[in-house]
Amino acid sequence: MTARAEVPAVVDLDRVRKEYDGGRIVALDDVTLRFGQGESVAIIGRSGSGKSSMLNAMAGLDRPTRGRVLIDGREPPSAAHWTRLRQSSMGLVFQSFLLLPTLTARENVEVAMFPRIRSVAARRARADELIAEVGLTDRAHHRPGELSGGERQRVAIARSLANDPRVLLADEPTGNLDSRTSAHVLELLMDLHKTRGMALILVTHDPAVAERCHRQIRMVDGRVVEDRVHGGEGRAA
Amino acid sequence: MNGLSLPWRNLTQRPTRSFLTLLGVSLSVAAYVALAGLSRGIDNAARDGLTENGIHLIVTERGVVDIFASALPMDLESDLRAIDGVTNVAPDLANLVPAEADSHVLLNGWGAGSFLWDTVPLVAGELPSQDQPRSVVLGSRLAESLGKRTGDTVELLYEPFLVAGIAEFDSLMNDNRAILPLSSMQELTFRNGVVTVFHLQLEDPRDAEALAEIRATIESTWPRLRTASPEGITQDNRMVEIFQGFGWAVSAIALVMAVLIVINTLVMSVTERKQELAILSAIGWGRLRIIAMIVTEGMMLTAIGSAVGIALGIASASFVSAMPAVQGLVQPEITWWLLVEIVVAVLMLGAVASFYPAWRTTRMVPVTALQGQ
Repeated sequence: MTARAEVPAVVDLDRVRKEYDGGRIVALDDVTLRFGQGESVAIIGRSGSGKSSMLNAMAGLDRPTRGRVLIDGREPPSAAHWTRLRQSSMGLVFQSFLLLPTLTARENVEVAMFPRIRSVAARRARADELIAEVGLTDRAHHRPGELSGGERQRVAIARSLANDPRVLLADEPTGNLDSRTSAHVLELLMDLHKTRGMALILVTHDPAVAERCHRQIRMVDGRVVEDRVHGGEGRAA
Repeated sequence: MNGLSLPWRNLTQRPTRSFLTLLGVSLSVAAYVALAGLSRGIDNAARDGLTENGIHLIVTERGVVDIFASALPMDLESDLRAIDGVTNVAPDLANLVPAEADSHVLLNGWGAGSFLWDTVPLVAGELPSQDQPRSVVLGSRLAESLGKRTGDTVELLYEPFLVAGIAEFDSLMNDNRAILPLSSMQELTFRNGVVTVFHLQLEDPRDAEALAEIRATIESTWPRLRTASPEGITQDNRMVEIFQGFGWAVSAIALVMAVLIVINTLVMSVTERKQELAILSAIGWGRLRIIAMIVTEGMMLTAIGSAVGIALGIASASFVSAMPAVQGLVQPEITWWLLVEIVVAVLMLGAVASFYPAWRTTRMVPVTALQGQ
């Protein structure tokens, strides 16, 4: 385990433990980690090693059994604070896309801006920009059921950028995609990471995906067994 | 897309369920509107009819369930007339009787020289003479619905009557009735020497103190008698009370059903959409915003259900009041105020009903719903 102090931290995990089923299952076992601004980090490990549990705790989607999760050095005191952080500082991308099936691609992006942007026109314009940024302008009016897996994930990525996050948390973003589409989606994520200067923390079991990141954290049975920095794509500006 | 289009989209994406819920809410509101409208209509019909006849106070038998079952001895007339402040007393034997075309009409028997005859606004023919016991005056709407003119014969109580005159009363109840001499009515209904009510005119009907004194005198002298003002005639009438009680009970049940239907629909809807709601939470929608969206869905359902229900209720009440059995006895009284009351009540119930499933769902930890558990 390595605590990284050289860059300002955006997310800190402090002795985080997550138990399920009354303590019979330990998903995270006293994990302490620091994620710096602009870092690209891959969390790798086998299924059940605690990768996703860690990401969920970092996003405030799940509460640790013990320990603290700090955002910008402060522990959000309530669920409402976590919600506000997800509105303003975090973008989330999931393996199964998690788009709203009744909305079009553009509306799925637009809906993420409801809490922050009141003007319908401003939301629409911003959604159009983001849809263009992920290369889906011609598919903007299609619903998720009419899009391919790669297109859906690009919509999800556009949605995650809606509020200009400082950290993008992606849980197996290429897990449901074929290798060619995976490569495109990964390319998109890395480009966004670099051009926007946001931290990218992604969970993956694919070594090739992990190799693209500046830092790799390996997990086994809920514990961090390796935390190393290598070349990867470096840190965003 | 705005704050209303998302809830609207959620409703229209499940058209069958939304339609069935709307139907349930609409029928509940329709039942409420129709019953409340008819109930108020009964009150108004009785009040307007009595007021039009220049009646200040009514005396009936105490405790009768059906006002037409009231049986007072004719002898009372002179005793009532002797009370200080009473200027006129008119006996009236009234009943709903079988008429032509399988209908029932309100038939009044009035004594010779009664002040009530002076209030009849004849538009054709003449008043029935006491020498012609089998003659009647018809209200103009009754005459029209039976297709009668003066000189025709009309069948009442299975007996033929000459239509001596036609009168155009203002009040619906009066304009749909028939009036004949009291002696004929007593003979035909086997109630010789008996009347249903005594109508009183007072020296000064606006003098509340004198009115109260007269009422107290009558009710203390004859404990089996009840007095009522034209406005209050339906308030202590067991038959009307039973009808109104029944109406309110059905209305209350209907509204409770509407609430349960909305709760049930939204509980099912949000249970199915737990993952969608968790996605909203994951992308930064706060709990209140999600609750507001679900409550908006509930209020949309109840608002549309109210609008359809009001239309159905008005149509139902009109249909009921046009049925031969009650035609002319009651005109539904559906005011804007009643509709506003209903809409506000139903919207509030819709909000409350949808709040519960919304609150319940948003208590979940987002990751649980995201994982589809």
